[in-house]
Amino acid sequence: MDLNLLLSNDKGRKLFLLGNEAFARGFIEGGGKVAATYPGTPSSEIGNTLSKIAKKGNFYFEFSTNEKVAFEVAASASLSGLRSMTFFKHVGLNVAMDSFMSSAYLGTVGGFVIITCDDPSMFSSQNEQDNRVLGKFANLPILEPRNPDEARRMVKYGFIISEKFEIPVLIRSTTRLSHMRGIVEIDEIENLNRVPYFNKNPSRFVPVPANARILHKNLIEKMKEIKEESENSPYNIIYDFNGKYGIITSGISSNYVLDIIKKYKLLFDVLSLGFTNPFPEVFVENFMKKYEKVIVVEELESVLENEVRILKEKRGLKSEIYGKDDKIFTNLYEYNLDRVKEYLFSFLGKEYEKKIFEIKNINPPLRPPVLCPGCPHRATYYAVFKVLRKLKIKDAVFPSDIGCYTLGIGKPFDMADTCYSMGSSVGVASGFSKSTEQKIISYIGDSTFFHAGIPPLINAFYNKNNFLLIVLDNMTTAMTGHQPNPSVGINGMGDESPKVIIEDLVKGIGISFVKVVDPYNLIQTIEAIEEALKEEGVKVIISRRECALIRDDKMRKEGIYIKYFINDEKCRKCKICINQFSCPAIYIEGEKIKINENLCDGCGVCAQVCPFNAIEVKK
Amino acid sequence: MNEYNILVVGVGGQGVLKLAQLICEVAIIENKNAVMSEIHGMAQRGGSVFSEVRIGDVLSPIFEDGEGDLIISIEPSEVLRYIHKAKKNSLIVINDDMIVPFTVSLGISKYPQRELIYDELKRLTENLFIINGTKILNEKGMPFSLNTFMLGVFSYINPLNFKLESFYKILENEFKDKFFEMNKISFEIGREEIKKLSYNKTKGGL
Repeated sequence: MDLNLLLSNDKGRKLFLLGNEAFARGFIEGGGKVAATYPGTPSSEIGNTLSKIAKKGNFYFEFSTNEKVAFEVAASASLSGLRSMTFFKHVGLNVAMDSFMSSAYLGTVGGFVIITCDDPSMFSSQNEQDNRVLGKFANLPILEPRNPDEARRMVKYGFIISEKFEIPVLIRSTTRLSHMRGIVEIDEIENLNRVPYFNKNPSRFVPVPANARILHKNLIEKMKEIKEESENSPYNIIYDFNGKYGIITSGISSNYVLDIIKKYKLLFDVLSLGFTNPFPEVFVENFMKKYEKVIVVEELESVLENEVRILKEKRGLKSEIYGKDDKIFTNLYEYNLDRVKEYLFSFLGKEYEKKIFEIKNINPPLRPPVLCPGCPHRATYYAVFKVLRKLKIKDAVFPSDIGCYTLGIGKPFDMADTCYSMGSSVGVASGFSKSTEQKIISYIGDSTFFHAGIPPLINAFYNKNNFLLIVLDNMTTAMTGHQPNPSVGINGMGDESPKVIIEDLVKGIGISFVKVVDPYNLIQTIEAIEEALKEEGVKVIISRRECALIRDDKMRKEGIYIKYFINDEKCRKCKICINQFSCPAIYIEGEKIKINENLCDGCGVCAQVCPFNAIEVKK
Repeated sequence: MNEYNILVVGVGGQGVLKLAQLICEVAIIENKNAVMSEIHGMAQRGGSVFSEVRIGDVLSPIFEDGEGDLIISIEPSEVLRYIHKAKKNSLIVINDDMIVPFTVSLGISKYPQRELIYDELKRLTENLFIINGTKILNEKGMPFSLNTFMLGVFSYINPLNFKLESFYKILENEFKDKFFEMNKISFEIGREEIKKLSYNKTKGGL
């Protein structure tokens, strides 16, 4: 799709948008002027979209160095009177948590919307935390869109609630919504023509204890007023099917419930909530009163269910409440039509035929996510492997971090031993170096280094730790889709920016062993790693080579065509290229080892790996 | 309830998501409701990718197990991973071009014999179509337009009786200049090739 359509003022036009694109459209339609993020699946396409159209759309967008910074950029734009938005994956909110908690006290001037994209089932995350819990913890209004069109509308609604009550609004998406496409009917773009200006008010914006005590009280008062809003919100909808029992649900789960009861004509009425915090008690009570039995359907934590059970107790309601059952509806993984169908049929004591076709004894081959052909990380991992073998080190510890290189966990490298969170490789290396005599080699990507790798590196140097940190600098934020970061030289607006030089930064800390290598040059890389492992203290090697996917694109555009092949006459079938290097382009066919020309990226590292010089450039 | 469920599966880089999106766009200009799901992240290249498409009066972007009306597998073995989504006599279209993952070279998994896969599928459905779009397009020097080739195949099978002009409209909207020309040719080759398999247009439709 032409992303410029997201700037269209053609009211009523239908677009087929990804949930994340719809969030971007909502920001534009609602007159948003400042947006900031740190990329992370499943939120990344909101930023990718805004970045491409920011100039034309006359708003500011940035890829910040981390979520906390992004949060503060958007929050302060709000304090200047502009409508602003920040968004990230669920664990990004953990990074922004400190300012997030304060922002509830400080409040807003211009509308301020925070989008958290949670990841039930962990399609691309380390946990499946339910950020509705964090929204309630911070005492903020929470909206839960059900489809892309609501994603668009709720950003605008969020701006309005935020301005009316001077409070940030949290919108909670999940992978299934962020990455579903649906029809979105666009509205006119609001033109607010605001002149941003920060009006000082330290008693509101500086929560020293004396102020904070008042601000917390004010927050609680605000939330009482906002409850009136949620009680009457157009986003809390009752579907009356003359049902015998009631179902209370919210967000994406509503779709599963409604599809199943319509398709199988099950006798339920449905209360679908879109505005879930403050919990609309009166509205829910009025619904519950009509039914002897009420089922709560929600993924992950029992947020609504707990509210409903408290409400029952507080108001002496008679309805029996059903929810998580530890069998079908658990706190694990995303829900879907099958899970909802199974639960509702079993609730009604009805049977249904499962018509599932199986093919036994034939399985598809494993296709784990893998480092691409030409990936510079593979070359770095191979170099480390060679050095460790030469030095006869068998028990080195590899604290890893978050990025494509976490795939070093796989065969044949086995080079990811721990991973907590963004930047954790450096802090973890510090701890290991004080608690074990094993060699410590930790890995961090360029974007992750800027995100959260610098404070722990200062800590490591100052506390005299002993480890080697390899910065895998592929000059992009690769895993989330190639967003720029400070080592790239392009910013979120698409403008050139001065690059931040990682080696200068590291030297600035005072670290003396700092080397920059090109992983496509195996000899150079191996020498540097060997030297580093023989020294004491904190050593940093920056292994710099641009991401193979970006290089591929450039080569294609420039018409450069380099492919390698295996010369059968020289190949001795030692399989080192397969068993130790494992580029996906190299494969075995019968007795021969071959290179798949369509996959070969022409990096030439395999030619350096081959001890018999059997891998040659195709002429 | 009207629903037509399509599963598109393949390997990262084959254009799975684009094909699913194009089918939906055609449905929308035919005034149908369409929703689809995508899975992003982790699988940059070589990973298993799938997308579910639902056309009709539905809300959920994923459909029930055993409810797939049409399965398009752009890689022969990938259909196995999602076979629980198929039903008796689903239409199954396979692009007969194997992509063998490195796990097979490493000896930690096996690529099943294609004949065995197809025999099993024939047990499930009378509507199995096997076509090697990759080979055909490589021969014509257009290796990057497999998704529009498969769209051409879909347009000929045409289970929902969409107008041919709707497909052309979407190709025009989605691709510009020389890319439009290339994808239009690829689309037409797809139509021609499936025709050669003497597909019998009697089933399907909302």
